[in-house]
Amino acid sequence: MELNVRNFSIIAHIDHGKSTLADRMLEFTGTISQRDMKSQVLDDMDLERERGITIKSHPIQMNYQHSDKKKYVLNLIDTPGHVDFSYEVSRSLAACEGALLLVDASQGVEAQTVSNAYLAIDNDLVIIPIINKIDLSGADIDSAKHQLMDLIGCEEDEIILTSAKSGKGLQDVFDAIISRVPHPNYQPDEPFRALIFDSMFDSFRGVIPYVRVMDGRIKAGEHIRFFASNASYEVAEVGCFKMGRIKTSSLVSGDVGYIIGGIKDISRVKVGDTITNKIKPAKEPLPGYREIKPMVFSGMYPVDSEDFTDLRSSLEKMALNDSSLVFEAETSNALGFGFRCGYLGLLHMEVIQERLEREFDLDLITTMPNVRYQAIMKNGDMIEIHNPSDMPPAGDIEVVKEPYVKAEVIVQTDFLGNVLKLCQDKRGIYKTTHYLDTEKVQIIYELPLGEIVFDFYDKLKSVSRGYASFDYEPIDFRPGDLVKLDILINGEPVDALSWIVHRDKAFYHGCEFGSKLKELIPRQLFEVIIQAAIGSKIIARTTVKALRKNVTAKCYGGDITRKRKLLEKQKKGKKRMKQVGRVEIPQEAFLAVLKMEH
Amino acid sequence: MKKFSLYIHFPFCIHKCHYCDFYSVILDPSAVDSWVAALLTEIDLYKARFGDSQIETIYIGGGSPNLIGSKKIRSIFASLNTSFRLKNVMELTVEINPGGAKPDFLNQLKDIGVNRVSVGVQSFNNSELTTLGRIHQVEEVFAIFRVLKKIGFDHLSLDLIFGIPGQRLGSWERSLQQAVEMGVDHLSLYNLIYEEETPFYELKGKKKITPADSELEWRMYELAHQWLESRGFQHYEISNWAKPGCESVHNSSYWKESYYLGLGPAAHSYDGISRWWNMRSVDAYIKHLSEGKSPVEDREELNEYDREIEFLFLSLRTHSGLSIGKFENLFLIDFKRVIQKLAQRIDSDEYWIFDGDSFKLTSAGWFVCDSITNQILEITEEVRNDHKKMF
Ligand SMILES: Nc1nc2c(ncn2[C@@H]2O[C@H](COP(=O)(O)OP(=O)(O)O)[C@@H](O)[C@H]2O)c(=O)[nH]1
Ligand code: SF4
Ligand SMILES: [Mg+2]
Repeated sequence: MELNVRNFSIIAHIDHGKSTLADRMLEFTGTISQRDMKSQVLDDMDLERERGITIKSHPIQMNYQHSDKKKYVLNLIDTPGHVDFSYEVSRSLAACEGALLLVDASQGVEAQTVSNAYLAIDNDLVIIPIINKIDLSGADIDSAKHQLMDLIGCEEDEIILTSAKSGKGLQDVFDAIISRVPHPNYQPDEPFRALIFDSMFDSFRGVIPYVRVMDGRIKAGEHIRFFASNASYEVAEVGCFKMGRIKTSSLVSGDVGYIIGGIKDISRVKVGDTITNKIKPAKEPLPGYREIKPMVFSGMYPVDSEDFTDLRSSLEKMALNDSSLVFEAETSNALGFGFRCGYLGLLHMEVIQERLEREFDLDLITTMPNVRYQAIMKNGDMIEIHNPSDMPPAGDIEVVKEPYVKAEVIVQTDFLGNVLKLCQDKRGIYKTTHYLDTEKVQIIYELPLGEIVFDFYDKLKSVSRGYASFDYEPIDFRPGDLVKLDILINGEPVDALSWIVHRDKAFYHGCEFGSKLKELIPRQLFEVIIQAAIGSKIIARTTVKALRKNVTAKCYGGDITRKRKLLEKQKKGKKRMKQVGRVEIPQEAFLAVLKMEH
Repeated sequence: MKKFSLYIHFPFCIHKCHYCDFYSVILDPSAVDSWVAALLTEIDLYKARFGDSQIETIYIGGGSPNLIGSKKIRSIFASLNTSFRLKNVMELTVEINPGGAKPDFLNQLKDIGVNRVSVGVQSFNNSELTTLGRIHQVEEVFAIFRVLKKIGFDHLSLDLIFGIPGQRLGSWERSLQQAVEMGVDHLSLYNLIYEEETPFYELKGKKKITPADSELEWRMYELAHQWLESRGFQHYEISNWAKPGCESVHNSSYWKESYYLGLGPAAHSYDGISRWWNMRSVDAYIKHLSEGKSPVEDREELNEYDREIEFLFLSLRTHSGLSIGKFENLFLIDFKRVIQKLAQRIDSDEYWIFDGDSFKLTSAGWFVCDSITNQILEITEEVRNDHKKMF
């Protein structure tokens, strides 16, 4: 029976049709009723539906009857495509034996096609190459085929053609899953071992780890132990994922499912950890995941300082569901108590902030993101800097190093010149070019991460009319001529607005930043002077003139109620402002950098 | 209710001005008849409750009450006389629009005891009047004042608007000058507001008109403040000026939280405990009353916090300002501490005067009075929280 399980992920560049293919498979297997069907049905988070992207990996189980008349259990994991969520993908892959690699027939291989394919290869997965969207008039199946063959070294006849929109080719996909993806290694009699690939917090049932069972079996009433934290719990329920959690009698070697054990202490569960049986423990944990290092950091503060402890517990719960999120407490002169959070990129940062605000009803200030720096001190010490305001005085520093990444851009040859120029502007170091075919080229550059986290992706899209795609991985730290740009408001430095920039761009950034802040800070009852400074040198200055008018004088015919309500509304509006010294600064101002040209 | 003020709303105009969000509809003679009938019923409804109280002031506003007609205004007063005690009415004001005010009607007003007329002049510049969508021109204003003076009302007032698109400081100054020359003893000066659902609001949204710069509006306000003060007009409330002793008693009743009863569609009332208001629809108002039902749309009972906000912003609007002793007694707060904190936040002596007993806004303070009120509300909360933490 267990020979009939197949565990696989769907991977692809963003928008190539992963979630849509998952829809068709769910329909085909009758996992979801016609009535409950909607597009990208697995994207169940509000934020995913609004933005039309997958943020979380979504596991779901299907029962499938094959042409050989045998019944199969298929565990599918739909994954996100954006580079910021590649850790999410890599964790899902560790729970699988196979991966469906989708390529949009009209787009061909793109950057995350490449990076996700490598992730699958690294995890020793069987890759089923699929060219999707063959119904599109712009489909160029031949080029897509050649690019795919070049990428993963497969044969032409291994490639399946589908239209996830119409369902064409779906049977071929099922056939390939059954015939090519191996059944999981079935070792039901070994001591129980399960890999935690994800988890979530449920306010009634506590922490719920999502697991792939490697060895043995588990059922309610048994006791489990976590390798890393050594904590143990009695299992209250196990089950698998359908449209929601479905309780089952047990989980066995090869299964993907969840375990509920009334785990209230969030710190006990770590994604990547191994769960074993408390009485009959396994000797060794499973390999787990590589430690993921955040790419960008930014401060997160409650608008209302009373919400600090709420923010802490919300972050802890969020980190359960997003194990790439890291955070530590910090204080800011301007903003009080908060956290320095580390993210995999700006989209990740935005998503976390929005999820925190929605799922935990918090009102937050996010400060401008920065990458990690290393300050090598004159005395030889190395200080890692996650926050510009931690930068030691310039006089004590020998050199500041910044992180570099290896960036891979895939683009139509027509736009090659534009892309090279952009990379050059961003202080890039050219490495190699590789032609995927006559029209498509892959370029490798080494770039300072600090130059690409902000708007590189948008710029890249605009210089390539939307065609270029891009992926990167960190390589090392290199010395850079970097300076700290401070912002003073009415003469007082505001630590939350400090920023580390390249010396050549400091003046320009200082002026731009000043005028952006001027736009965002509303007029107050006094003049507000905004200055940008490097060390003690002021490089730019601008003022927000004093407010002259804010009055609704008319109280016509005794309608006092309206006037009172108006005041109350104004007061509410002010709640989204942070009082820094005497000046009220709106939340957005702390992220003004993102709205600037870089 | 012992003493109260009475307001009557006449909701008809010949034409809607572009900026207007007062409740009024285009004049329809048969609707006016029904309005009178409904009003008489409403007066009757309140007779039991207010019949024994003293009415101190009456104000007939609108709309354009000059369109009521002589006969109808007489029957309204006849009805008021039978239902309420009018013996001690000290101020009886009727608002009129220079466009469409007939001498015969104005004579009637004098006959029935009106002692104060407030004229909606808005500007002494014809092109500004056109911009505003007013139906009258300056010549009609002059004519009306000649008639009013001839009839001999005790008090005359007029309204002006500043911050009209295209208006310059010089033109504003000329309007002020003309206003004073009309011989009024009271002036209301309003800063143009772009109220939602008015044509001006839409035009502004479509960028078809350019609102005045707030700096210019402030200069206009300050000019009025100084210029009028030097001509014997005291700036006794945020948008009202009067010769000594000629302040509007009726308007002051709103700011001083005295009681008032409003009759007619959209009219507001206050009895010290709650506020209530009539439906903002002539038809609904008429229909309800004709069926013997109350035309009240809604009411609200004020809680402690509402009272505090109201007391605060209403007293800050007045020349005498906020009495520290009174505020502290009513709302149990160390208001001096609040002022101290306010001064730390806003390091400026431009906006208010604090003499230990009262806290008064200057004209600069009045022009940012919503900001200051909000600051005070915020600090008040802070001071209360600090206090809670201490115990
Ligand atoms: N024409 C066509 N459109 C498709 C097909 N598959 C997916 N799409 C569309 O492509 C867009 C992205 O699909 P989605 O499943 O969200 O992609 P994901 O980001 O890889 O999950 C959606 O608008 C889909 O409707 C296909 O086979 N044909
Ligand atoms: S006259 Fe007065 S009430 Fe009538 S439309 Fe003009 S502003 Fe409005
Ligand atoms: Mg998707």
